[in-house]
Amino acid sequence: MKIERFEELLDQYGWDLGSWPDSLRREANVLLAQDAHAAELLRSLRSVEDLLADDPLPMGKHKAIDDIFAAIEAEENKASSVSQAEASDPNQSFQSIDDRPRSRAHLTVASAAPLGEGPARKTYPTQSTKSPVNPAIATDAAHYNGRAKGVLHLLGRRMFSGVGMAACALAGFVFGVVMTIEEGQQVNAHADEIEVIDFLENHLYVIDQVTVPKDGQDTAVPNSVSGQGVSAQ
Amino acid sequence: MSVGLRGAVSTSSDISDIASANDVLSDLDDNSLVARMVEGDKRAYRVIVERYYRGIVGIARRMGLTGGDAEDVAQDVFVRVWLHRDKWRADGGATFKTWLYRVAVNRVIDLKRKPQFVDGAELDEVPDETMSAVDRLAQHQEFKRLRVAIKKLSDQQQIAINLFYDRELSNQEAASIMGVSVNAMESLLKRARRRLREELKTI
Repeated sequence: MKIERFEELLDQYGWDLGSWPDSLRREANVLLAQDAHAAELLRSLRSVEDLLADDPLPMGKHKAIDDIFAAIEAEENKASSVSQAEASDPNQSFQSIDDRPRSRAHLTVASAAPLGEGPARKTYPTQSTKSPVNPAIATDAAHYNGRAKGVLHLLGRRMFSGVGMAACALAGFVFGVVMTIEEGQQVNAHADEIEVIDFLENHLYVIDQVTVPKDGQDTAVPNSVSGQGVSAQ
Repeated sequence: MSVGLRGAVSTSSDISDIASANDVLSDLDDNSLVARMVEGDKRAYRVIVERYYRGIVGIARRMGLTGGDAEDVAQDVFVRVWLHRDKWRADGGATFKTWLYRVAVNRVIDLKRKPQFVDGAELDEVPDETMSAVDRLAQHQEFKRLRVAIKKLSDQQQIAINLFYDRELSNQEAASIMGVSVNAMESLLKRARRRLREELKTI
């Protein structure tokens, strides 16, 4: 075995010859007996291996393990205190950063109308008979009981809903038809007007050609501009 | 007086009961201890911590952390494992031991990537009180030389070398911690040894 092959095997099988295959270990031992350089290489690598495998701590129990369990206790206490605080006071530390409702109970509290004196609304405008958030709050309907029993109210609720929609649809249809007819009439009138204009322009052009002076002081200008000139003269 | 005596007797019997229960727990294998840990048995978890604390601190130190940082990492790992014990799945393909080491290795890598990290390669080492001052000095020089050489390896090669030469770990476990096959681990080790050997020649 040559030293290069020995180094390659050291890289492959490690620096402990005990982990080498038997045949290769025998050849390596022969080389080590003959080559001082190989023996020195192996010795230095074995010392490196010993350093790498050196245990940094002695066996046994350490104070650090007690510290670990103290840290675990602290973490658990912290977690339980946070959960207790959230359970006991749902408004605390939440409303300051986010006032969105997070539960049905919180929604009720947050959306209830104020009951005290002041400009705040004291009735609840809804079709329901009472406020869904606070039964103590009177509804608007309580102030309109008289009207609610009248004919207009009945008509408004029963009749106007369906008939009104049908009447609106019919009115829209009639309006559309009328507008379409009117627009058609306007188009026809415009077409007649164009024909008259064309006729007049052609006629004036002919007059213009006829009335050009012989001395050439007034050159012929076509179309309507020339027509104005003719009328000025 | 009699009450006091009865109390004293019962207290000493309680202590002996606890000690015998701890002995029983210490004889259990990892799977049994982990099953108890998942159910919230803190005494079983203490046995696990006592079993692996030294190895976790050792791997953290070999990866370049100072003694204090290595102990902090170990504490952080064991606290996290306890707080997230319900996430442990025995059928995940790894043993609890390799999973624990993997958590520790990843934690060390995270710590080393932080900009304020101070490499402990040249800061401290464990003094061996049985050695003479001359031998200790020689070992210190050798230790420094080795750490400098290891720092020149790639990250993967450094981890492979550190795991492979950990006496607490088998080759299979080291490969499992790195998430590679045993063949891939040996190939990685071969390249790491060659590079380390070449670096040691130049230092």
